[in-house]
Amino acid sequence: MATVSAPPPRRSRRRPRVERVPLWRRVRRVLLAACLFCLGVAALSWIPAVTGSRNLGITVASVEWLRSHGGNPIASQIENWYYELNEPEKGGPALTSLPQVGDGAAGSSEEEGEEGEEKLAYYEPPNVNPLIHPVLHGEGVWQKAGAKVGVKPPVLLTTFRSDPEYPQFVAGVAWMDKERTELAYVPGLAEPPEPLEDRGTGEVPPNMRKRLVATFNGGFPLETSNAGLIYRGKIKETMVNGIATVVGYHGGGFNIVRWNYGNTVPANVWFAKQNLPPIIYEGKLNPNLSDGPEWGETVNNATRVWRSGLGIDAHGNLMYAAANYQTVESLAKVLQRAGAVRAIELDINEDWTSFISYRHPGGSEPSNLLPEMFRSPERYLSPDERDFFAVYLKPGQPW
Amino acid sequence: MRPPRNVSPAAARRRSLLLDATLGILIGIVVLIAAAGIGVVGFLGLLGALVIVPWYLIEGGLRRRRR
Repeated sequence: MATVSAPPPRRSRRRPRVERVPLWRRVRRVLLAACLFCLGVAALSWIPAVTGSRNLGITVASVEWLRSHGGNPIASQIENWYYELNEPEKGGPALTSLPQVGDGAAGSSEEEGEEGEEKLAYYEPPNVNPLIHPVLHGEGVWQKAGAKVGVKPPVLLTTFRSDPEYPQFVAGVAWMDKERTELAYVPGLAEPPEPLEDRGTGEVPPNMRKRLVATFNGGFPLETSNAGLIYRGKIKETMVNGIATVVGYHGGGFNIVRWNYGNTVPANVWFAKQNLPPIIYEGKLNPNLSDGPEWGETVNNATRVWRSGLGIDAHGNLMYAAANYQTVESLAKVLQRAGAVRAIELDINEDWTSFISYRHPGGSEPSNLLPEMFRSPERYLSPDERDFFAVYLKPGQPW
Repeated sequence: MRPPRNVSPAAARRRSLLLDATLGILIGIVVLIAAAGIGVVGFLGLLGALVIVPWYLIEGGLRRRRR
């Protein structure tokens, strides 16, 4: 008799139940992995940039890093939104006083009595004609920047209210005598980014401080200005025709010109720093001051922000102006009112705008042109990221 | 050589995580190549992380509260 044996139990072919992750969760996970990967790679570049910045806070250093690594349009757009949200209101209560600048009125030297006749032989700029009345004490009146500088101060300072619609805005202006001073371009640690022999340490060289009378900020970084640079007689970044250019000559002379030499270095040029089109040329305001794209890949030209500019008067003396809440046009008007016949816009934003004068030789007792200037007056006596200009007494000139 | 088909649920979860992470890194590499600079890559990465990480945290918090 055949026996029927029971079939062996079938092995279950069912796979263990795997809980399926919904698609949207997987997409989210993929995106997170992509973001963390991007962050990790970027951190390899960001961390050294931020920790290596000598005199910048982490926020400013991060923005600078973003700008110099392809993110300039992003940084500029965010800046524009920020400034639009913080646009100042017109009007407001009138000011009753202006910030004190300098070391006494330009003509009030202790040596004046003895050298009064000699003084007449020198050119002294006329006081700035105030825009708003009644005029405040000292408004538009030139003051000596240094102490005990004699009858012929190399640097003069003044302040005035520059815009009747915004009577609380105060502009600071400095005047530098071409007969007594020379101008030097000092590269910063990170700007210009091009490799430079003799870059220096990003500060006023200690051996030059004996003759130091003033320092002030340079122009936009080359990446945002799309302009050129000549340093020590050599082209470091392609020069662009038609762009406003601060030119320093062999021997310390200076000028502001509309560049017209192409990508060549004229024989007597020691340095040339370009930045945007001239804002004043031949005594007239640039007619395109309200035209946005012409003014660089940075905050809008009509955005009210800290701005600075450098002009030259009809006698060839330098004039620096800076103020908060300026448009390109209002800054140009400040310089024009102060007497500039040609002018260039320099750097903008509170982090970069600095004019510092020194009360005594050796870089001693530095002070900002305006008390609201954000950066320390010691800024250029220690290594700085950005390039800047230093104004020295000519060799042999007494303090 | 083919990997085994029948794996434990934990192994399947790990596989899926590995696949998603690899895909994420590939997307990251594409962004790195296509972006104007490493600054843009970092900015986009930060923005994305600032959205997704809090999303995970909020979700985890809500789940714990429900238990």
